Amino acid sequence: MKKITTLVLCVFIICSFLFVGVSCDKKQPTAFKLIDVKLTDENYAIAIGKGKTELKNQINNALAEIDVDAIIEKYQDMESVEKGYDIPNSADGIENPLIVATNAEFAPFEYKKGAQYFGIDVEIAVALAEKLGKTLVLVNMNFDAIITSVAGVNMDEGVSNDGYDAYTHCDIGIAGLSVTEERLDSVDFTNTYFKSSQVLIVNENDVTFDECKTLSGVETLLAGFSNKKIGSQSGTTGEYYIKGSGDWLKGFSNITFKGYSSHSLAVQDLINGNIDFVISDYETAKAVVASYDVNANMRWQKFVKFFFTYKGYLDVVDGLKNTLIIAFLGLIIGIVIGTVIASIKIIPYKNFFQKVLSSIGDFYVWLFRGTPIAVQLLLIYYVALPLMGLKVSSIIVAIITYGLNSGAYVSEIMRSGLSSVDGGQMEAGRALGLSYGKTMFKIVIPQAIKNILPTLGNEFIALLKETSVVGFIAVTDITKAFQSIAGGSYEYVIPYCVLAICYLVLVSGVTLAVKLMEKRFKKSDRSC
Amino acid sequence: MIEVVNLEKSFGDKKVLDGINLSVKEGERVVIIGTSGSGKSTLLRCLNCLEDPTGGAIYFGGENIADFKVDINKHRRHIGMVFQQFNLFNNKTVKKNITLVPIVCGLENYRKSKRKNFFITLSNVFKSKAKKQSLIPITETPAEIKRKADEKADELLKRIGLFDKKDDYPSTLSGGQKQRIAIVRALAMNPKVMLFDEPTSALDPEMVGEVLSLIKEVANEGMTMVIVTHEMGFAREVATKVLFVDEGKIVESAPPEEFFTNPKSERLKEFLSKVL
Repeated sequence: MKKITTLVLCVFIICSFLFVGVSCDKKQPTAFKLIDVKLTDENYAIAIGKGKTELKNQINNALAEIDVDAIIEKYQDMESVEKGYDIPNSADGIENPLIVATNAEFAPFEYKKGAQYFGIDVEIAVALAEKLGKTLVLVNMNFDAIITSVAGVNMDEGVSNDGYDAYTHCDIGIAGLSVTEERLDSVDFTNTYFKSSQVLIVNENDVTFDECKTLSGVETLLAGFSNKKIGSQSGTTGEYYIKGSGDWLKGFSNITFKGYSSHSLAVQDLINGNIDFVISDYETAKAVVASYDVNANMRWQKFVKFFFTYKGYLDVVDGLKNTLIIAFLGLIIGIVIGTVIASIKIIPYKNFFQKVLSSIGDFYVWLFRGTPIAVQLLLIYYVALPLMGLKVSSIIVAIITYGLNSGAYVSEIMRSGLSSVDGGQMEAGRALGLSYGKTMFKIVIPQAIKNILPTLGNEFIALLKETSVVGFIAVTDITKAFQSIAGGSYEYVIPYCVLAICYLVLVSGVTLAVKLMEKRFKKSDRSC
Repeated sequence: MIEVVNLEKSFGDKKVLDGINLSVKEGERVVIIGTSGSGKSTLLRCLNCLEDPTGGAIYFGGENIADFKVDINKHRRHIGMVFQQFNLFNNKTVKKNITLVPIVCGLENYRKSKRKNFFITLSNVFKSKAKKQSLIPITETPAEIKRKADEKADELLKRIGLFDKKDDYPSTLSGGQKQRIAIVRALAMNPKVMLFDEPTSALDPEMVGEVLSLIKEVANEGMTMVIVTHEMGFAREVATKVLFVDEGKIVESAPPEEFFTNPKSERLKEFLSKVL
C-alpha cells in the first residue's frame, strides 16, 4: 500500500511539472523591443595573456586576412545558419592546440545548438586556428571566468610584466570581449574585429523611451529615474555602464543594477516583470528580440528541436555522466578521508604523532566546512594548481575538490557513527586477543556504517545536487547541459522542468538504493 | 599462573589500586569481593591489561604483560574474559561470535608461519648443509582451521543447549542466553585462565541460576578462574580463595570457610554483616 501511494505521488508530481510547462505555453509571453540608440562605443577584440607578443602578432596578422564582415553578414539572420562546429572542449591528447575560452550563451557571437557551436566568434576562432596551423579547443565557461583563465596567475607581481610568462589555462579568450581599462590591467588585447555598443531592451508596451532618438535624450531620462531596476549579464560593459567605471563611463547611481549569468536570463526576468530594462550588446539584443518574436508560442517544439534535432541530448548524457562520476567518486574519496580522520580522532589517549594528525584533521574540517564549494573550486582550479605549476584536467579537479569537501562532512558523520557503537564491542574484541585495527575493521566500523547509512545517503544526495556549480571550472554537468539548451533557445521553462525531473529521478534512485542497503544491514536487528 | 607484584593503577590523581600483590595458581578459583568503587573490577581488568597498570608488574606465561613492549594480543588469547554486559558482537550471528576470533587468529598464525618459512627457505640457499634451518611445521590448512572452529562452536553450543540458535543475532536472545554464549565464546579459545567481571549483575533474577551453574560446571573441569561477584553463596561454593578489596588494597585473603565464618578485619566484618 505504501509503495502504491509513493508511486502515485511521484507520477502526480512529474505530471504537475509537465503541466506547468504546457500551461506556460498557453500564456502569451509579453513581447519586448529594442531601443535603437547606441549608448557606448566599444571595440570587440581577442583577449590574450600579457607578454605573449609572438602569439599576439600571429593572431593580428591572421585577423587581417579573415573576412570578418562576411561572417557578420552571415549571422544577420541567425535562423538561416545551418552548419555548426563540433569542437573538443579539452586539450587532453591534442597536439599543438589553440585553447580558446568562451561563454556560449551570447548569440550571435557564440552559442550552442545541442552539442554544436555556432556564432561569429566561433567562426573567427575556427579560421584563426586554421591560419595558425593549430587544433582548436573551445572551453565553454562562465563569462566572469574568461579573463581569469586567460590572464593566469601573476606569480611575481612586483616584477614588470615584460617577458613574463605566466601559467594560463587558455591561450586566448573570444567572447565578444570589449576592450576596457580594467581588462587591460589583467590581459592584452589584439586588434579590434568588431565595433559594438550597448542598447536597452524594454517591454513592448513601455513608452518611456519612444520619444528619444539621441544618446543625450536617453541619458537624461536614465539620470532622472528613481526606483528603476536594470539587468544585464554580469561582468559585461552593460554592468559598467550603469555602475560607472573610472573616466570612461560615469554610471547612474540612481538605478539599481541586477547581474545575471546570461543575457537571456536577464530578458526572462524582464518578461517576468522583476526588472524594468535590460542593457545588452547591440548584436545580442537584436538576436534575443528576433528569437522571441519568431517563437513566442512554441516552447515544446523549441525544446524538442534543441534536444533531439540539434542533438542536445548528447550534452545531457555527457553531463549526466559527469554529475554521477563527480558525486560518486567524490563520496568515495570523502568516505576514505572521513574514516581516517574519524578513526584518529576517537583514539582515547593519543601519542604526540596522533595528536599532530588529529589537529591537521581539525584544520582540514574547519577549512573545507567553512568555505562554499564554488569558492573551493575556483581557488583550487584557478589559483592553487597554477601556482604549483600543475596542469590537471578540470573534471579531475572537480572530483578531488568534491572529495575533499565531502571528506570534511563525512569525518564528522563517521565520528558520530563510531562513537554510537557501544564501547563494550571494542573491549570484547581486544579482550579476545584481536588488535585495535582488526577489531575496528571487523566489529566496530560495520556497526558504525549501519548506524550512519541514512546520513551518508543524505550526504550523497547533497553532493549530487551540489555538482550543479562545476560550470565555474568549465565542466559540463547536467545543469550546465540544460542551461546551454535554455540559453541557445531563449526558452527556460521546459528545460528547467526537465532538469528538475532528472534530479528527482536521480535522487529517488539513490534513496531506493540506500533503503535496500539498510534492509540488508537490518538483518542483525531482528530474528530470522 | 598469574603473579601480580605491587600493582598500581591511578586515573588522573585518583589512585584506584595501591600496591596489590596476588598470586593465582593453576586450578585455583579466586573470588574477589568488595564494595562498589573499591577497585575490584579495575583489578580484574588489569589482569589482561584492558586497563594499563600505572605501576608494578603482572607475570603471565613467563612475561611481564604490564610492559608495553610485550605483544599483549598473544597473551590475551590465553586469558578468557566474561563481561557484565555480555558484549557479544552485535553484527555477527551466535555461531560467528564464537568462531570469529579462533578463525582470525588461526589464519594470522598460518600466514605468519608461511611468511617465516619463505624467508627460511630463502636464507637456507646461502647456508652450508649443516647450518640449514628447518621449516616451521604447518599442520592445518585454512579450510581445516575453519572446520575445526565450526566443530568446536557446534559442540559448545550443544553443550549449553543453544545449538538451534546458532544462526540468530544476539539482539534476539535473552540476557541469560547471551551470557552463556559469552562464556563459551571465551572457552572456544582454550584459555588457561578465565576472568569473570560480575557475570550475573546485569541479569534478571530468574536467569542468574543458569549462568552460575554453567560457571560451576566449567570450574569443576579444573579451569583456573578469577571472579568478581556479589553472589556470596556462589562465592562460598565455588571459590578456593576469597579476597576482600577495599580502597585499592587487598584487606583480607582466606579460604572461603574461614573468610565467611571468621573474618578478621573490622571492615570485612561490617561488610559481611550488611550483605549476608
